[in-house]
Amino acid sequence: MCHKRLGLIIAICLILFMHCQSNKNIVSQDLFPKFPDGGDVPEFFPINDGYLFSGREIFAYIDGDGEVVLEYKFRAVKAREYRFRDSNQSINIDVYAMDGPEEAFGLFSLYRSGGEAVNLGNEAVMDPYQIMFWKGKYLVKVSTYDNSSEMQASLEKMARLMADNITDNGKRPRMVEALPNDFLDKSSITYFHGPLAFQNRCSLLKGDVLRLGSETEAVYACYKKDDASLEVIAISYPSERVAREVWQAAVSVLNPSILDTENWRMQVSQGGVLSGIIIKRKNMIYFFLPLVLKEQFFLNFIDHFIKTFAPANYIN
Amino acid sequence: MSKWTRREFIRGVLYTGLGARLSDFYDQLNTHPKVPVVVARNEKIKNLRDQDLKKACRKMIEEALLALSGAKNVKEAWEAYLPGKGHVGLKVNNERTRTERQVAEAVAESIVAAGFPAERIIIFDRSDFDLRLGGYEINRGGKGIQCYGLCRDEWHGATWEIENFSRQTYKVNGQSIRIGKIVAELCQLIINLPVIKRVRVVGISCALKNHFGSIDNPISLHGADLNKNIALVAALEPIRSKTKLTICDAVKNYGEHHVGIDGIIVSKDQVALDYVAAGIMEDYLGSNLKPPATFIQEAAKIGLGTDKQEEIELKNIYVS
Repeated sequence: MCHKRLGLIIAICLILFMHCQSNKNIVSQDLFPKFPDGGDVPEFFPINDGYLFSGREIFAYIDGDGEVVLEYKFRAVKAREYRFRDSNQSINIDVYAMDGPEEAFGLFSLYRSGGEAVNLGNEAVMDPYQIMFWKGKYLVKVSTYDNSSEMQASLEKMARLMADNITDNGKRPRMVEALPNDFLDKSSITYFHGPLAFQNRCSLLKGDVLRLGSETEAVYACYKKDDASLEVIAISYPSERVAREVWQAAVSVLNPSILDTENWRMQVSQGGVLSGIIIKRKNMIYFFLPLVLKEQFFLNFIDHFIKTFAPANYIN
Repeated sequence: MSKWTRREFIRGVLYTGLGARLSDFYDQLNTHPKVPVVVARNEKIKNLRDQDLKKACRKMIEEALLALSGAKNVKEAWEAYLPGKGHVGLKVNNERTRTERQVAEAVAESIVAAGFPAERIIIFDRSDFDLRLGGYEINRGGKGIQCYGLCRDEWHGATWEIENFSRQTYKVNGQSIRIGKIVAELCQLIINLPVIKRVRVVGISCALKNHFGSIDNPISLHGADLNKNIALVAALEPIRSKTKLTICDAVKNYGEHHVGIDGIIVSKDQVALDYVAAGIMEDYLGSNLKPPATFIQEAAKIGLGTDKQEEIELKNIYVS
């Protein structure tokens, strides 16, 4: 009797465990759009069903950059490999499923570096070995190790199939849409939340002083006019109080050459050369960093930017 | 005496004769001992595949070894490294990129040609899964050159295949980690075969960071101290004393996740090699590294090698 009861308990536990496991897989697989099948691109066939890495399992796939991906609202990545029928060349498709389109754009904007813009998904860049695009809540990378023209054509075909399988387009973050368009280098725009992404764009200050994290939103952009250029970073904090505290911390770390406390404005110089102007307005902190300094353009631009940049999360 | 930024140093020495002459001039002003870093290149290599690629890689590797060691022939050059007993491990990198299989095989075959048994050479990485993704065929216990991972399974940072790691735990910045048995017990010599790739967390990954694939719980070392931890892992015994040679695969240029210069970079000093790799990445990006890869300085600080430009002798070799 006792054995029977024990057996029953074990069986119930086993069923419950298996149910949980299968649900977990179903939920994870449902996150993703359909991947190309064997018949979709005749010259290629999939060699597996795809590997799935969710949450912190990302480190299993990309140890080096796992933390950066986790600074965005990341759900899971699915990777599937396809082999060319006539050789051992392969194509890999990685699909990063994010919480929403803003996050997919954000990760795309951080990873985008050079490459040729192509008309695919919402935005795409292509180099001889990879096409990367974002559409809806997905960032997609289609890559190979062969740069032959046949492989390039297959790469593009695979990427287009993948893009077609994602039905929702999604929109860029409102903070990005609010950037003034004049002189804007659109390919430079980067949307982010965390300190590691910040450090990929600015070396003036460590990200932890700025208290960047899931509650902050930030945008980086480069503006160019003739031979003058400057970088802008706008960070939105959840409250004016937090922005004020961060400002004060930044003042003590940066030791500004000019500090205008009344107008929440400081100027930072390194070796006698202007390296940045930092301004706080309400819950926002702005960095203006000259790359090629033409002083009048720089100062006029700052005024112009502050007046015209009005993101939805600006607390009036 | 340092006159150039890292990027200027690399560009100057690798790509212009002027750089080499200026370098010679500064050499005369310096009395520091020099650490050689050899860059061997073959501009035709980008178009080669399979056996042709392997053959060209082997030629570059052997020429670079001779330039590094000053030995009379390749056999003599290898003999300075090869152990009398135990295995030789070739640590490749197949995480989101790959050390070209042809590079790893060219190194292994060159060692075999020097008289070392093929069965005592292990091409390894974090897991069989990683190796397969990189295009390697697993050979665990069969004839010829061995190829397998520290773990059979997919790697999930903290592995459950505990039997494949050292019993001894090592402290890294307060965290306990274990080292893969391939490194800790089986091999007497590790040849590091990294690639140059951009990582957003610490700027680049090359020789020093590649050792994260030899431990059981790299995730625990991420976070604010990652730069410091990269240096500390490379400094762990036995990793430090067994890694006597680094051959960086910079053969093909796949983009920032695997930057190539039609060649390979060889040095006994992993810190100096990473300094050169960082300069190559900066040259590729056209800007300074962000974030600035401070693990290179951290590693130099604890005596793993040099990150001083004036102490690095960058040798160029063109192989046809």
